[in-house]
Amino acid sequence: MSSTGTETIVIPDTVEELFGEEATRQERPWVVIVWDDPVNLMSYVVLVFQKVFQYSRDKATKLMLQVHNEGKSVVSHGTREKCEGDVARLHAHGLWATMQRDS
Amino acid sequence: MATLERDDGGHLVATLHAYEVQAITVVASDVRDLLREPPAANPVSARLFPHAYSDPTEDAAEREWQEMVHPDLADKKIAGLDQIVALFGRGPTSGDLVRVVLDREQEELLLGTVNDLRLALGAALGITADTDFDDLDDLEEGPGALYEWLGMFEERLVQLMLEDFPDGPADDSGG
Repeated sequence: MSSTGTETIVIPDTVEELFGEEATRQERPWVVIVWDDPVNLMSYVVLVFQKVFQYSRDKATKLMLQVHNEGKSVVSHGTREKCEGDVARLHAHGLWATMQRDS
Repeated sequence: MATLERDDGGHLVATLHAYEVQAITVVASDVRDLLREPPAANPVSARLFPHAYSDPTEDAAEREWQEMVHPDLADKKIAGLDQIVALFGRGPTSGDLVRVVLDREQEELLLGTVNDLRLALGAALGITADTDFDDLDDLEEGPGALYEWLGMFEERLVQLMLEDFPDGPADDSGG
């Protein structure tokens, strides 16, 4: 990219001004949440976290206990596309998972 | 009660009573029909095919995601049910016992199918965190009993399958 000498270059003050508000919203990362449900076995949820995310037994167990005790847990994060894929894989395993923008 | 174990070659060996196979076959057929209906058409398919987006205002993205994911997911679940029913439906192999040796792929299908059947029964029975199983009228021989039986069967299956995964703190990257 080049510029021909005499033009005035205005530097935007904020990212919103540069890319627009929607672009900024799009760049915020997404999170995948697994919600507690009364049917899935605790051991099964650990197995799914290890299988889907390759988490260690300790991390998978910690996340499962958070789901069980607090009603939900953030289990992964990333772009919208990555999270859509993670949610699809969790649904394929019967877990109750949704995605939302990180707050 | 059914037994699950690994043989010397690492294959999963499942031995079920003929009446256990019969109970699974009947409920699998019911669930199969429900899964053919659109998501949210009934409590079972609503539970097996939940929303992807927490935020209801993401309805356009939700619709797009469902169109991309749901048909394939429903087909896979139904194909899994059919394969498991066929595998165990070969009839008694020793007296009243049905003994099936599964490869790794069939083992995954068995776990997925058992879990789907439990989710389906849980949704159909309206099971919540507060459900007292003594309150289920037909616990002795109806869907409540099958739900409990499948829970014990799945717990055993999961314990065997967890042995394939590292059980320590190990690497926590990713996510």
